[in-house]
Amino acid sequence: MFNYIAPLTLVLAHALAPVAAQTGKDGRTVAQVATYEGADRQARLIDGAKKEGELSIYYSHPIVKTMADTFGQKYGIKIKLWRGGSEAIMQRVTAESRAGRHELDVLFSTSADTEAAVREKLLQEVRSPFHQDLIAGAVPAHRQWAAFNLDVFTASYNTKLVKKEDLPKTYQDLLDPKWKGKLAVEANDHVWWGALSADIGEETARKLFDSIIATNGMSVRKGHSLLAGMVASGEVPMALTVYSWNPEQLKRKGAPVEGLYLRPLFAYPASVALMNKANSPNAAMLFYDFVLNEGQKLMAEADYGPTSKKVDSHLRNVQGIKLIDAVQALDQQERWMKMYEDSVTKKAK
Amino acid sequence: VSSTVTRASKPADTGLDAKWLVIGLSVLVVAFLALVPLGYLIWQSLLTPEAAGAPALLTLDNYRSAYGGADTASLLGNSLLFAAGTSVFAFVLGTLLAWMNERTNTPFKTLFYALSVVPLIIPGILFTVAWILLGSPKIGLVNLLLQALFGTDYVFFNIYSMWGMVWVDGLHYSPVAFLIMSAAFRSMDPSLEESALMSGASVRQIAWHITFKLSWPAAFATMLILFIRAIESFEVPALLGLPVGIQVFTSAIYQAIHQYPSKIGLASAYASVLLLIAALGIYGQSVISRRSRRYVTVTGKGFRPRTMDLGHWRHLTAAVFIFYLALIVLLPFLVLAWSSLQKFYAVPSLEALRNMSLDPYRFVLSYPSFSTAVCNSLLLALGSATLVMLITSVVCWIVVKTRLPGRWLLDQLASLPIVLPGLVLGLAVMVFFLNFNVGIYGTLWILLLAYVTRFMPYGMRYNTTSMLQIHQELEDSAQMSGASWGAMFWRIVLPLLKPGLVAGWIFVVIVSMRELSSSILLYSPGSEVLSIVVWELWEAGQFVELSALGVMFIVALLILVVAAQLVGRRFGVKEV
Repeated sequence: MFNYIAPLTLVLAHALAPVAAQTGKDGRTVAQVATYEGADRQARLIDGAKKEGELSIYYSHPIVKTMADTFGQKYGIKIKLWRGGSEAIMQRVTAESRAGRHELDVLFSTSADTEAAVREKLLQEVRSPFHQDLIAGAVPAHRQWAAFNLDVFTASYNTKLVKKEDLPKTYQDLLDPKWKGKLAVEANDHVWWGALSADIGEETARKLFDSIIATNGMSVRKGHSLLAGMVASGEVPMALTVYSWNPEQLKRKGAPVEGLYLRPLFAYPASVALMNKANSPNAAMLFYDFVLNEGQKLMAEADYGPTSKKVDSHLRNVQGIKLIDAVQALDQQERWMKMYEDSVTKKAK
Repeated sequence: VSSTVTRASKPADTGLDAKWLVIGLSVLVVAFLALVPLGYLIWQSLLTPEAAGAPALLTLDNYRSAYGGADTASLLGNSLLFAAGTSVFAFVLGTLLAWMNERTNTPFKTLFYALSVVPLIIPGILFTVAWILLGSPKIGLVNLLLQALFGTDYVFFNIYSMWGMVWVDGLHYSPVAFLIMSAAFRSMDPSLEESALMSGASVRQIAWHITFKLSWPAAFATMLILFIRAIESFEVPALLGLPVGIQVFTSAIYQAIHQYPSKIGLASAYASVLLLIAALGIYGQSVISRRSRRYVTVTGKGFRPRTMDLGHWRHLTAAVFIFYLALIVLLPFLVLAWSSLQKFYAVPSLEALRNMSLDPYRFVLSYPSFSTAVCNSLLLALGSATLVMLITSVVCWIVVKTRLPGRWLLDQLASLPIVLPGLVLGLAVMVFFLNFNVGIYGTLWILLLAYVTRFMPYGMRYNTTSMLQIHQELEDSAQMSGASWGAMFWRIVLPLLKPGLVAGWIFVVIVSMRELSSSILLYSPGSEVLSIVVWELWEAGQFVELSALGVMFIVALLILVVAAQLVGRRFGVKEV
């Protein structure tokens, strides 16, 4: 083992930077930076961020890259981006922190996974003036993360294959045999299924979909983007669980798709959080604010689901969106997975 | 392992120092690379998930829940059927093509070697989606065309079925069979075939009784690789099986990993049955190796593998080539090329024709991490392919040519990482180097290490295949002429191994470019690789941009493969 590694070590010795700094370059701790509410908050953050000079971000949501690039240019801060699926993010973050390696400043993930990071004691409570701009439920009581985006589970249909007058108004309408061979869901949407079951009752949800699947079948597709693309191409005439921004973005490219809001309507919040061992707490805090403020406009422009009440988006006039509870989603995860598998994916045809 | 070998080295005379240094080093590297993830896998399979406030505890529950339910049996059943179908199909196709290419005088075959690896080059998700666009009952171009032709709405081809899965995955991996079997056929002494021909045997008899039987070790190795790879494959079952409720074993592994706390232990317990299957297969091959003399085709007697004159039949084989190229290589490629010129995928029509644009290409070329990713991927692919093939050539030599005790264990160690789920391998390497900080975490080196581990088993199979064909007498005469072990290995063994070495090298280059599941945990800002870019585009639903990338991928790798072939021809020792 040593024979192999020794030469590498020599070459790369300079790349070693294992020291975990708990205070920023301006001498304040992460907690001090994150909870400071004085009038000069913004000025101190900018000042500290410039001294820190760089910022490390783990994320899975595509819009984060755009926001980070804009932020980096605005403040002259070097951004280190790492992107992975939400499960890979959790694995990387927990493995790194268990090994005492603290590379990360800002964590983006699903709200349930971020709640897991709360339990791992990795996150910092934050007091940001921009919290008050957000919709109700976007910031949990412990204030260790904030929802910056809503992934609203939405149906989507191909406008060439489904006539407007034929559109279902409720899930019950999908029992009509005219939907035979036309329906599809995403393969890992147990969170949607769990929320739906909790809302209309597990038994009701199961029986309803049993009948729908028995009458009309159900195709199961891996990935929301693929499913949305399949709707655009005509392969799937009616998808039940894409994200509301999927059809919006495809429409912009000229694809024959529309979103359709079947009730009850659920949103899975995506969240931003500050690491409590951040190396660049000022830059991290500044970016956190940016995401909840200027970043929200960038998100609306790209058709995503901003959570700021100050920003207009395609979700603006959609009534009755229910936020999926992160704690419940995390605690029920295994059960919901199993339920979704038994009630839907295994029966796909 | 290492200690056995080093102890055995003591009595050797001093002139053999280089030999034992190289052997010792190779053994150490292999043992280290393999034991880290394998040890991690077994260790984790005995632990409960680790979460905040709940430390991991020793348990057998993972095995109980993995194999206790009826679900596992049905998942495993699906997987076995899928793997068997895929490997037989890929093998038959690849071997037929390899035989035509290496052993017959079929026209156009020089073009063929490079083109035949195209299916392997296309990223799996892209290849599968291309086939959805071709073979779906609703929008599949093949169905639409045939339906228009016969004026019916009959579905000719349904890609969403077990057969569809076998078809797509088999096609995708037929180049694996093609590469190994080509290497085997190339090193074949034609005198046996010629004697058969003179005794009045037909081409078919010769092909079956002589050519094929002589390449039995290669055939076995090919089937082994194809089978195990198909069992652990994810893309095709996820995109073609899931829609119609066909679930496979890997979906269970996927589910176990994709939750918090991540059930790595359960995933590992699932993977252990794959470990068992692979171990049996490798044992099977070692049984064949033990009777290696039967399959020796490269001896001290000079020969040049002449090709068989097929007579009029060569028109038929040429037609098979063209058919294969058109249907398997060109068709998916054209679908990709078509969609790469669109703004979103639309079935070809006049309207869609008007919407054509080069934007996807512009998008990809201006993608921020694109150039870094290309450089990193090239470095990693070339580096890992070269390292894998060189290290495994030494290991194979030990396993096949020596009588060292414990060499079977070495064979197993170097081959078993083939069954590790990519994410588990990535985790193992990550956790190891986080805790033994030697400065490679967060650099390209950790990726290189993971790639070498992941693809070492393939190097083993490619090299073993060629190694078995080399007769002992060549080494003996080199040593009798006073050559050192190093000189003998460098100037006799490696050049004679060349067909397997080059084929394996090409394979590892291609699969390294595509590796995603380990890379995703191990890359860091600055060490992005191409497969990550592919994945990002995929996740963001940028299928047309992804198609553009795929088209560029194919063109670039084709150039690379052709160059490798030319270089091999020019600088290598003359064709044996």
